[in-house]
Amino acid sequence: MVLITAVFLYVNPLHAQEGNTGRLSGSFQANVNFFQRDSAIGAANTPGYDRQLVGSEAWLNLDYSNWGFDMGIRFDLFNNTNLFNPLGSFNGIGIGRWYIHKSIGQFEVTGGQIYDQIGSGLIFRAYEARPLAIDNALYGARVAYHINDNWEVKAFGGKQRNIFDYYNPSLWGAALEGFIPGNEEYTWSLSPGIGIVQRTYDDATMDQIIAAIETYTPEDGFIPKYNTRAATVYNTLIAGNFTWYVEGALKTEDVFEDPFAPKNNWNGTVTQGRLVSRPGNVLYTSLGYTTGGLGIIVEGKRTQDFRFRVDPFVNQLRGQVNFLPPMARVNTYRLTARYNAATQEIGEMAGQASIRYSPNSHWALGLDYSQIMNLDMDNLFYREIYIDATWKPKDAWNILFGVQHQWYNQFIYEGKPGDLSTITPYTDIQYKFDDHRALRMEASAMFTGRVGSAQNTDYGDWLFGLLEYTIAPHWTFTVSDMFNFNPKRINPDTGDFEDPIHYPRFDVFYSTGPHRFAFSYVKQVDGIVCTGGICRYEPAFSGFKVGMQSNF
Amino acid sequence: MMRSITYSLFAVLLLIGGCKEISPDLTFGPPSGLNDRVVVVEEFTGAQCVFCPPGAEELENLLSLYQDNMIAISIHTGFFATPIPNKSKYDFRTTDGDALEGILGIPDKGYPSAIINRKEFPGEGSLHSVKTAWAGYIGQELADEAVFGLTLGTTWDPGTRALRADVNAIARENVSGPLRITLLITESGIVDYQKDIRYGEVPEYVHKHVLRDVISNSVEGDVVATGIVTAGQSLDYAVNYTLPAEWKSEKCEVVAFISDGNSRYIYQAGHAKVE
Repeated sequence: MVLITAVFLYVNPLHAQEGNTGRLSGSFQANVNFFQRDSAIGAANTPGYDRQLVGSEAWLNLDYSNWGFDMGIRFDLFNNTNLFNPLGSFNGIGIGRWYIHKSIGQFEVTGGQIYDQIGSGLIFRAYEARPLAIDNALYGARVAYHINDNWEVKAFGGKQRNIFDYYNPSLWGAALEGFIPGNEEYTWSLSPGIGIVQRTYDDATMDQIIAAIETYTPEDGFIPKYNTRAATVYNTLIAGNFTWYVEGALKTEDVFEDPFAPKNNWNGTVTQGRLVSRPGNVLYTSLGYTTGGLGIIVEGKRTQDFRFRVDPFVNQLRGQVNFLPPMARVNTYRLTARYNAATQEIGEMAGQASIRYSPNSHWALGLDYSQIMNLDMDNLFYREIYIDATWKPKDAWNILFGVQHQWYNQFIYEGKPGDLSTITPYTDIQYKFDDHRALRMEASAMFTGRVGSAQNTDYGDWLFGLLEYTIAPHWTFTVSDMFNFNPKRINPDTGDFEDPIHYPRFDVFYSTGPHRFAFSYVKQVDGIVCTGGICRYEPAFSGFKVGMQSNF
Repeated sequence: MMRSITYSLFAVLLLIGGCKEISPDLTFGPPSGLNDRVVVVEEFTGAQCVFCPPGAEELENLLSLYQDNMIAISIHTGFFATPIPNKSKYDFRTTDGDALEGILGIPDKGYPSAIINRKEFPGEGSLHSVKTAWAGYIGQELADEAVFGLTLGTTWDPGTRALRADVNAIARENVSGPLRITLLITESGIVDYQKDIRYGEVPEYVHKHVLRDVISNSVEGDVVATGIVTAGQSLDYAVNYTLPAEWKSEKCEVVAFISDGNSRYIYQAGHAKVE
């Protein structure tokens, strides 16, 4: 890290941008939240609302390439931020990441904090997802050898990053990946790969595990293993209009927390949740077909005991060694995205299908179906049916409308007893006045608890409306309101249902060159927020948000 | 070329798979041969915390396992501690509980969460730990000899509800100050609503070890020594307190502990019934 800093300091300012000898690039992102207490929506009783009033995060990323080297350093600032724990507050300032990478002939070597993955990430994925405070870079070394243009073998080892520290257990892994062109016309090809990852507990972590399970009754006790290995085999076959990806992964016996496992206590009670030691497996496949205006994707995934953490005592989104892709549609509209199905690491049987059909340049139709169940296929976790149609009568108009239905097991995903059903019609209409000015309108309604036996209503029924006016290339103004017009929550003062509550939001975005500024006033209901299929609970928010992002 | 590399990799995997590790030795069952060390477990909880009842059950399990070597304190504070609207009879939140959350830190790993002896264990990044880790940390702490011997005596006048708590701590080795002694009161057997992940809202839930008040002058405990305390040195501390009428004295317990004034680490603790 000292070396990298020295190199950055040495860089001649004249060469600070692209020049003959090197290239310096970077990015800067900052978010500031001004908390305004609002007990009516639950935006209260956290340090931010009670006493700190302001929280912020910033990242300054610099990358420099020269002399065949690539190197980077990232400065992280967390100032009373609730990013890591939405109910809490975290402070920290320091170097969040550094790395040096060098290509030497057919070899590549990298040291520092490394992002990488094997296959789709079933056994290993080191990545960053800032909105969810995930940064599980591998702090270590990586070497890759390019056997030829189509084949590469790589190996890595180190420890997983834990904010400005790292977890004590060790990780290492290796993978062989390649590309096999089927014929000279490239009408078919294969992209196979195999990989392995091993996590080794350090003595302190093992002592902690032993101390915990020695308190178990003999029927719950087990002998833990220091080493857990996970191996994966994967391949992408492209043949004509078909693309088929399949990946299967196995994990040897691993100590992890099963929150549903019965625990037989010494006092005779049986409670739920304990450490277990079990092997695991995942099978994931996706098949895509595209032709003309038709596109079809079918995916399936079976997961059993594939919680793979660097430390068995960390939970939520911390310490994840791997990434299990979600099997539910990634929704973007405010109401259709309110309930999300996070991957169940302990066990799920999941499938989804998506069909897109565009009969002509004016129409596009879509149908999505997702279903997630327990492994015995007798308990429905999640079901979603999503239909949309886009109509472009003229160049100036783009009209989208559709309806979504969800069946959502709130116990599994949020810890609230019961099943919830939703029906959500929605529309998104855009009109371009000219090349610079456009107006977009979203409208949707969510009705809860009206389908079958899924009669949970959670917060009740919602309306959502949004107007967005864009003056390209600089300005965007949005005003929106999420309205709990038929509330089903109890008011603490009256004992009746809550009064209808508005959750308004106003945004102003300004872009100039590589810079983007955002200023928002936000009242936001609590819920599950997902990025890339990884989800976490976010409490309600009330206040102002100011953001800046620059690339240079 | 490719074939040989693939075969080599498989061979490596097979070799790795063939490596055997020596398993650690384990002894399941209630611990034996414990010394007089007493560990303090401060659980952070709330009536609206659906995951907290399983945590409370784990505390009871650990209490049955460690018995007099463990003290549980349930601190109702934070986001989930607001009473259940129109259902909760009591508000278990206290000024001292809120202050302790501010001093010791907010649960950063979700709920249920507990702090063991106010110690930051390696890899945790904070004082808090999750339910599955509690037993191990308590076991680790109990493996060490107590640095202090601590006795706690109470006198109780049911007429005036006057309570006096006397603490005596005797150092068994030289210990650097500052040192603080904390006295607090917990109450058990309080029946009130509690949300539970498994059962929804439980109206007849029995709340135990509820922190009622820190009766030391300072919520962090009062300084009883500033310099080095030598082995054999005795430290005395006492508090007079009037128990509020709404608390059931027969269900109340006084907890005392001596801690490092800087790191807040708890060296030794004791507890006694009010009556």
